[in-house]
Amino acid sequence: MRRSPDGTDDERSMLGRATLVGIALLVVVSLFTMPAAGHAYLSESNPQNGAALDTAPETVELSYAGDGIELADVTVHGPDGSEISGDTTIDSDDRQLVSVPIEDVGDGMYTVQWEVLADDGHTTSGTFFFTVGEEQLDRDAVRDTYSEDDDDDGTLFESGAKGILLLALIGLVGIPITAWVAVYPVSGRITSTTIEQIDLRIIQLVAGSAVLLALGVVGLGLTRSTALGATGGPAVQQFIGTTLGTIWLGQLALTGAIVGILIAAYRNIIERRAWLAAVFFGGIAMQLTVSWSSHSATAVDRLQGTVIDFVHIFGAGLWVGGLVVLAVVVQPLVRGREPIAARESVAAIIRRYSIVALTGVTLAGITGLFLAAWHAPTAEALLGTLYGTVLTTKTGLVLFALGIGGVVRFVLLRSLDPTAQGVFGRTQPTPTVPVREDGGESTTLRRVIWGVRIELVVLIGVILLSGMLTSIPTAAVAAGDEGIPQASIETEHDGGVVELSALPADDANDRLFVHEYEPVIYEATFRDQSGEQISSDRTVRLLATHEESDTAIEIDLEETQDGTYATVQALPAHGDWDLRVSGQPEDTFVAEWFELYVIIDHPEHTHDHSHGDLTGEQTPFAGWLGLLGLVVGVIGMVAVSIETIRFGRRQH
Amino acid sequence: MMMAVGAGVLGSVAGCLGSDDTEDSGQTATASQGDDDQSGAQTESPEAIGSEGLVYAFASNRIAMIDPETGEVVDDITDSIDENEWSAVVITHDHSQVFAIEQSLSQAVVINTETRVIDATIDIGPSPVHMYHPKPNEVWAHSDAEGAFYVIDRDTLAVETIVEAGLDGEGHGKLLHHEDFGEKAYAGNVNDPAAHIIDLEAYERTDSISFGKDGGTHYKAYTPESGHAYFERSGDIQTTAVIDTETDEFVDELPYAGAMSLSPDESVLGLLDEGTLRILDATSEESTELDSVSIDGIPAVARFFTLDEGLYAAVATTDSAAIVVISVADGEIVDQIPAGEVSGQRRAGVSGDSYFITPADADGTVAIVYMADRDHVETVAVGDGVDTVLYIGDSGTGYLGR
Repeated sequence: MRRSPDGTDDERSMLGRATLVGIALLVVVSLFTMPAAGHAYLSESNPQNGAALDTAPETVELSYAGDGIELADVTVHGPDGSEISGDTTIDSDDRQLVSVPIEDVGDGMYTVQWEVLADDGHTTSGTFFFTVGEEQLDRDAVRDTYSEDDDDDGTLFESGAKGILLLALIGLVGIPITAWVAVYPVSGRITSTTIEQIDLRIIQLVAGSAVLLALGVVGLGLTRSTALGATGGPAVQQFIGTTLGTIWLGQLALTGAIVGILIAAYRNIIERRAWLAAVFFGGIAMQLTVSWSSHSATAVDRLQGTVIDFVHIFGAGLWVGGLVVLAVVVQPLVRGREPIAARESVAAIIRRYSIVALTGVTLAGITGLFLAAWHAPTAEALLGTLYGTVLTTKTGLVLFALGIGGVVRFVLLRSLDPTAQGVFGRTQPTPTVPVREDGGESTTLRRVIWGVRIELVVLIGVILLSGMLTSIPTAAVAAGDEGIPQASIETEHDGGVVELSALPADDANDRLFVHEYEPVIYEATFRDQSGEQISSDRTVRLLATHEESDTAIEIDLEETQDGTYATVQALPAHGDWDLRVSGQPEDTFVAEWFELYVIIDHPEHTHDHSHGDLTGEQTPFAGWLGLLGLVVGVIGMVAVSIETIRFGRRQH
Repeated sequence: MMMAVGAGVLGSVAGCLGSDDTEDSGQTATASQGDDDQSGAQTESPEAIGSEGLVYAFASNRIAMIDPETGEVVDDITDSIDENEWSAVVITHDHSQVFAIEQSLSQAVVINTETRVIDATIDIGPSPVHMYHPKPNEVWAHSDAEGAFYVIDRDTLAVETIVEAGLDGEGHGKLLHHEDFGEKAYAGNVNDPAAHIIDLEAYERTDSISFGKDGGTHYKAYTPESGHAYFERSGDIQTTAVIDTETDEFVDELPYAGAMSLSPDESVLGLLDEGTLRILDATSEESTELDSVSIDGIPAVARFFTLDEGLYAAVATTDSAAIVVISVADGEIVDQIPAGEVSGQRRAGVSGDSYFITPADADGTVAIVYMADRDHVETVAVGDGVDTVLYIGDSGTGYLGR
C-alpha cells in the first residue's frame, strides 16, 4: 500500500472508500428491508381466552408470537382465588410455547396471569380466563384483563443502565478511532511530553468508558434477571440459563478484557496502536451484542435490525466519541505553545475530525431515520406516545448539536485557519485572530473548546435519551396499544336512543366488528330524547342471531354500576350477525336491532388488541422517513466526499 | 342467563299448543331480522284477494294457503321466512289479520289476510308461546321468560304495554277470556297455583284466586252455560280447579286434568285425561262426567263437530299417525283416519267449518278431514317442519274475538 510520510493519504482514501461502501450498503439494506415479526405477545392459548369448558384442563398452554421466550411465569387462580398452577415450562424445542399444569378445583372462572421475558430483554404480561361449568364470564374481570395486558414501560433503572451502556459503547468505539485518525497524526508536530499527556488523557477517557460499560452491563443484567419478580442469586442463576443471560456473560467477559487491555496500556505493556485497536474492536463486539437484542432486531428482523442498530450506534460513536476526544485533548495541545502553531494543530485536528464526524453523522442520520420509520411509522405514533416525544426531543437536540458543530466547523475553524474554505468552497477574507499577549488561548480557541463542550453535553443528553428509547415500548407498539378498542352504535326510537357498545371491537358503516371466539363485552345504554341516561323497568336482553346458520342466542344483560346493561359473550361463528337489544325504559318497550360482523379467526392469525404492534408498517409516513434517510445519506456522502477532497488538496 | 333459542324450547312448551282452546291453535315463524320499519318483505302493492275459508299452514320456510275443499295450495309466503319456529297463531275477530309467534326471534308476524302478505314483524318479549285476542284492537302475546303479556296494538303494530301476570316473573302462561267476563280475564301460569285476574283496561293483575300451595295452572276452559272457568292444576297435583266467574270463587275441583275443549253448542266439555277423553256436562254446576272413551296412545287435541248424526269428537294423537273419531252419543270410537306422522312434539289440530285440520311435521304435510264425509281426506304437501295450522273463518267453538 502506498503511504505518504504522515500516512494521511492512505487514511483519507481509506476513509472515503469506507464511507462510500457503508452508505451503499445502507441503501441496499434499506431496499430489502421487509419487516415481518413482532414482539413476544400471546397469540393463542389452550384453553382459549373466554372458553367455556365442561371440565378443567390438566394444563394451560400459551403460544407466543414474535420472539422466543427467555423466562416465563404463568400463574393460574381458581374460582375461589387460590393459586392452582404448578411450575411453568418453556418448550425446549419451540421457545414460543409455554405450559403450566393446573389442578381441577371445580366449576367457576379460572384466571391465567402470565409474564414473559422475551429475546429482546423486554417483559410482556397479561391475563386471560376461561370458565368451567355454567359460570359466566364477569364483565369487570374481562375489562380489567384487557386493560392490564401490556408491554412493560421500562424502568428508570433500566433506562439509566441502557443510557450508560450506550455512552460506554460510543466512547469505546469513537475515542480510539478519533484518536488514531485525527489526533495522533497531528501530534507528530508537537513535543513528546504533550503526546504523553494526550496518551494519558485518551487512556483515562477509554477507562472512563470501560467503567461506564461495567456499570451498564451489570445494571442491565440485574434489571433483566429480576424482570419477572424473582430477586437475588436464584434470579441471576435463572437468567444466566437463558440466551440473554449467555449474552450477558459474554458482555461481562468483554468488559473484563477491555479493562485488562487498558491496564496494560496504562503500564505501557502494549503499544498505543495495539491497545487502541483492541479497545475499538472490543467496543465493536460489545455493540454487536447490544444490537442483536435491540428493538429493531427483535421486532423487525434479526439481521437487518442488528445491522441498522449497529450502524446507528457506530455512527453516533464516531461523532460523539470524537467530540469527547476534542473536548479533552485540545487544551493540552495548545497550552504553552505558540499561538499560530496551536491554532494550526487545533485546526488540523478539527479538519480530520470533521471527516470522521460527518461520516458518523451521516451513518447515524440514515439509520436513525430508518429506525424511526420502523418504530414510529405514523405521525400519530410519533406525536402521541412517550417514545415519540423522546424521539422528537432527541432529534431536536441532535439538530441543535449539529448547529453547534456547524458553527465550530464552518465559522470558528475559518477564524483559526485563514486558508479554510467556506461552505461553498470559496476562500473567505481572513479575519484577524486575536492572540493573547501571554501566549494563552485565544478567544476563538476558547470558543472552539466551549463549542465542542456544549455540543458534547447536548449529545450526552441525546445518548441518555437513546437509552430511554431502548427501554420503553416503541411508538409503533405504544400507538398500536391503544387500550381496548371500543366501538358503539346508536339507534333512535320514538322515546330516545339505544346505544350498543362492544369491547374489544371496531365499527364502520354502522356495523360492529369483533373477532370469532373472542370474549366481547356488550353494553347497552338507554337514553331519553334529552340524551340523559335512563334505566330499564325490566330485564334488558340481547338476542344474537347468525344469518348463515340461524343460530340464535338470547342473553339477559346485567345492570352495571354505570347504569348500563352488560354481558360478556364470545360469538361462536364468523360472518353476519344481527343483535337485538330489548328493554323497557320509561314504561316503553324498546327492541332495536344492530348489525355485527364476526371476523374469522385463522389459527395463524393473532389479534391481541392490546398489542397492535405497528412496527415495520409500510405507512406513507414511514415511507417519507425512509426517503428522507436516503436523502440524508446522499447529502452526507457528498459532504464527506467534499470534505475528504478538500482535506486531500490541503495536504498536498 | 344464556339460552339457546330453538327446538328445545319449542318442544318443551308445544305440548299445550294443539290442545289449548282455539285462540292459540298453532306454532310460530321467523321474520326478517332487524326489520326496523316493521314492513313486510313484499313491497309491491298487493291485491286484496282475501283468505276466507283457507287454511294457513306454517312450515319452517313457508306459509302455505290451502283450499280445504280441493286440498290445493293456492298461495304461499316465502319471503322473510327462513327456518322459522312457529308457535301460537291467532286470527283477529274481523278475520283481517293473522298474528303468528316466531319463537327463534321472539317476534310476532302479522299477515294481512286480504293481501296475503306479511304486514309487519313485531319484537315481543322472550320465549313467547301463546297469543290471545281479548280486545278488538289488541293482541296479547305471553312471554314465558317473563310471565308477562306483551300487548300489541293492531293500529300501531307495536308493543304498547306489558302486563305482569305471573307471580315469579316467569313461567309458561295462558289467558282465558270471554265476552261474558267483561273487562277482566284470567291468567294461568305453571309456576303459580292460582288463577290471576287481569284487568284488561288497566293492564294489570288485580287479584289471584288461589288453589293451594303447590303446582301451577296450565290448561283452561270456560263453559258459558254454567259460568264456570276450569284450570288444570299442573305439576304433581293433576286436578282441575273450577271457579265461578261471577264470584271469582274456587268452587270445585275435578279429580283429573288435561287439555280441554268445548263443543260448538257449548253443551259438553271434552277433557283429555292422559289416554281418556272425558266428556263433561258443560251446563251443570257439578261438571258431571257424562262419558269417557279410552284412546290408544297420547291424545293431544280434541275438537267437537256437530254433524247430522249427532255430536262427534276428532282427537289427534301425538304418537299415532291416525285421527280418532268418537261418537259422543255412543261413547265409542267410530273411525280412525290416517293423518301423517309427527316428529314427537304434541300434534296440533284445529277445526274450521266442518273440517278437522292437523299438521304432520315429520311428513311435511297437512291432513284435512271433512268430518261430514270422513272418506274425504286431503293430505297436502306443505314443507318441512309444518306444525301449525289456522283456519281463516269460523273455527266453530265460538271463542274467537268477542
